[in-house]
Amino acid sequence: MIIRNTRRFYGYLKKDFTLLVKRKKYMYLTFLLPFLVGILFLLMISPSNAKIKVGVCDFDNTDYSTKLIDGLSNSFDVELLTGENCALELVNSIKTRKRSLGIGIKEGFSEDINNLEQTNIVVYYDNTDIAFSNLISWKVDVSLNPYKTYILDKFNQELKSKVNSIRTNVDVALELSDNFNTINSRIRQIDSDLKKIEKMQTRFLIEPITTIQKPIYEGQSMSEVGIAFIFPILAMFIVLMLSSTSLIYDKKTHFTTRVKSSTSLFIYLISKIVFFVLLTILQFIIILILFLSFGAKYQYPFLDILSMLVLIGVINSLIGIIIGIISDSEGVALLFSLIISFPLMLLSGIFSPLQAMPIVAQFLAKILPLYHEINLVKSVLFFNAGISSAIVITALILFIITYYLVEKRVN
Amino acid sequence: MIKKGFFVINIMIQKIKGIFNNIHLKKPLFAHSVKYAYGDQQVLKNITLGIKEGKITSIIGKSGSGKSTFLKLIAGIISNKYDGKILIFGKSRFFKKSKLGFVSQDLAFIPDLSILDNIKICGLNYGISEERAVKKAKELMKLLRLEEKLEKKPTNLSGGQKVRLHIILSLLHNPRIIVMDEPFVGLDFSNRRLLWHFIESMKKSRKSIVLTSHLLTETQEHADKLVILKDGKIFFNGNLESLKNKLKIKFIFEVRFSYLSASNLKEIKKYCDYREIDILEKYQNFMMFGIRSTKTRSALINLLEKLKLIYQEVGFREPNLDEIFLKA
Repeated sequence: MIIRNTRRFYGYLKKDFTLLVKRKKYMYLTFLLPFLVGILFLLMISPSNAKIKVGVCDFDNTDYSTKLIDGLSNSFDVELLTGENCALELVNSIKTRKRSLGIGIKEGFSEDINNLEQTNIVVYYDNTDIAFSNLISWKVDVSLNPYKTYILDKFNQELKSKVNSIRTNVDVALELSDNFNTINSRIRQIDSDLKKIEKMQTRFLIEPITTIQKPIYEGQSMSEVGIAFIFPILAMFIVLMLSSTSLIYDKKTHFTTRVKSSTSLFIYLISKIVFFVLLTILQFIIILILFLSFGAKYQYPFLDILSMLVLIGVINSLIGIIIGIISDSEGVALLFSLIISFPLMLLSGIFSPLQAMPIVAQFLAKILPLYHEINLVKSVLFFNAGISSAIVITALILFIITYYLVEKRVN
Repeated sequence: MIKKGFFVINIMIQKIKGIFNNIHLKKPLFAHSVKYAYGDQQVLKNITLGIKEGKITSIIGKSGSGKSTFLKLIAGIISNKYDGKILIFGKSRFFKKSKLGFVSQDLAFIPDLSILDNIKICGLNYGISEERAVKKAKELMKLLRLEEKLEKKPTNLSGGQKVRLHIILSLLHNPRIIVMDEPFVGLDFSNRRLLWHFIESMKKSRKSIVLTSHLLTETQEHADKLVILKDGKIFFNGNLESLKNKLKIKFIFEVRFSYLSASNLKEIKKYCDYREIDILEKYQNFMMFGIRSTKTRSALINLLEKLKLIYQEVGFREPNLDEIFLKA
């Protein structure tokens, strides 16, 4: 009895292992998924040599500000901008993702320091980039530390020189007690030095320079920007899985045979895309209602929003259909969807700031569609910047590839 | 003079070509020099075949002979590049797909939707209105005796009913050419009879039917034309009588031996080669011979007696298509 049951147990186990080996796509995907996700995760958390691109507007233009820019260059890839519209140019370059950060050094920056008063610099950043926003104040503060030490050293030296000056003046005053005018002048000098020390702020001692953070999106709350991440991720997940399994279903039920025998697959493909675009629009409406009910406020450029949803729907459904073409079962299609979704999510910049990742990870992220979909939503909903032609071209190329594959590989 | 002669010959050739082309234009289906390969493997080698209106053409052949591939090419299921031409009423199949109804070997319906929804969706797929599709479906259901509630799901139908529904869904657009790939698979005798009646009724309404089947005995009763594919080529194209003549098998002679030694078998084979007798089947002590005349039978019996073999004559009769097919 025990031997028979052991044989049965072994038989069932053997069946599953043999199937895993024979169904090669299952096997590859089972091993590929942990391998791929593991590698990407390690890339994400690896220390990065990549320098964040920073634009600096120096309105002070003194030795102090130059010294500050030199200090920043150790941590960032700094580019000095000039001109009256320097700040505006900075903001626009962040919106278009040419730079990740902007720093403005105000006029009178060095005067404040000379007067031993706390001063500040303005940091422009993309507050719609959630993970990067959380990182940036820390990153700028850390980069300013050497400069702060330099300022405090300078202050310390000045303080000592002032004390020396007071001591000298007192000594001179004692020696020249017969000359009233000289004494008077020396005492005035002492008084001036003492006034300067009296005027000194505690804040200056603690923190000679503060950063004023200027988010480029002036929304009501941070929760508003979350839609730029959650919607593309959800849309991708759902549409990828539904469109890939939908094609498998049509293949399995031989509906595609019927389509091919009666018409060209072009109409079939278009109708599938339209269906998933409509699903994408529905998902957007649901998420939008949720965000609005939590107090979010957006601008509504209707045509741009529609184009954005169409593009996201088209790209996701086409990727899903390609998965459906190369998969032979719904299980394989789901695994493929996961294989694609996981890296896309890890490299989307929602969990970890892309700017802090190694260059390889940044390159990978920028060729993957989710990164562009997130930026598309941000452009349309927050910056009113319209739609880039690159994403339209991507959708077109994807369509051509998918149509070719559908014609060749379906049936 | 010679030039003039060439000129006249040229005109005649053009005229003949024109007539030839017109014949093709009139034919519902015409395949000309069709070649197709799966990778390096040549599946169809230079197939030329015309299908007449209101006739049943049966394409038969062993597994892997290229029957299904040929039908799929006709129906446009295989859209990869192929050599040659496939014309439907004289035009490329791409422009005339609506004239063709393809009944695939695999049942094609949406199992999660009701029969009615399947009918409507399939009708729309063929470019006809839902109402027209339902009307046509009811008509076909009557012919195929599928009297089920339209709200039922196809998964709740029996095997035979599923096949009938599949056929109905393939013919909703009232095509003039019906291409059926193994339509009888999995059907019991009564369902097969019903389907043959249906095919005959389609033939009466001037539809051209092309089908493949392994049930050769049934096929020979109904098909107007037999096309035998062998290794991707047309081995035979005609009716049963001309096939019998071609293969020179007039009778089937079957015997069962009590014992048949290897040396005896060798002798029989040698004799059969000499007398052009076909050994159609040999299984253990059973042998089936394809012979041309009663005289050949007597000669064969003489040989068996000469070899002192103990045997029992199982049959001596006219061959059916299955048996002829053994030689092909």
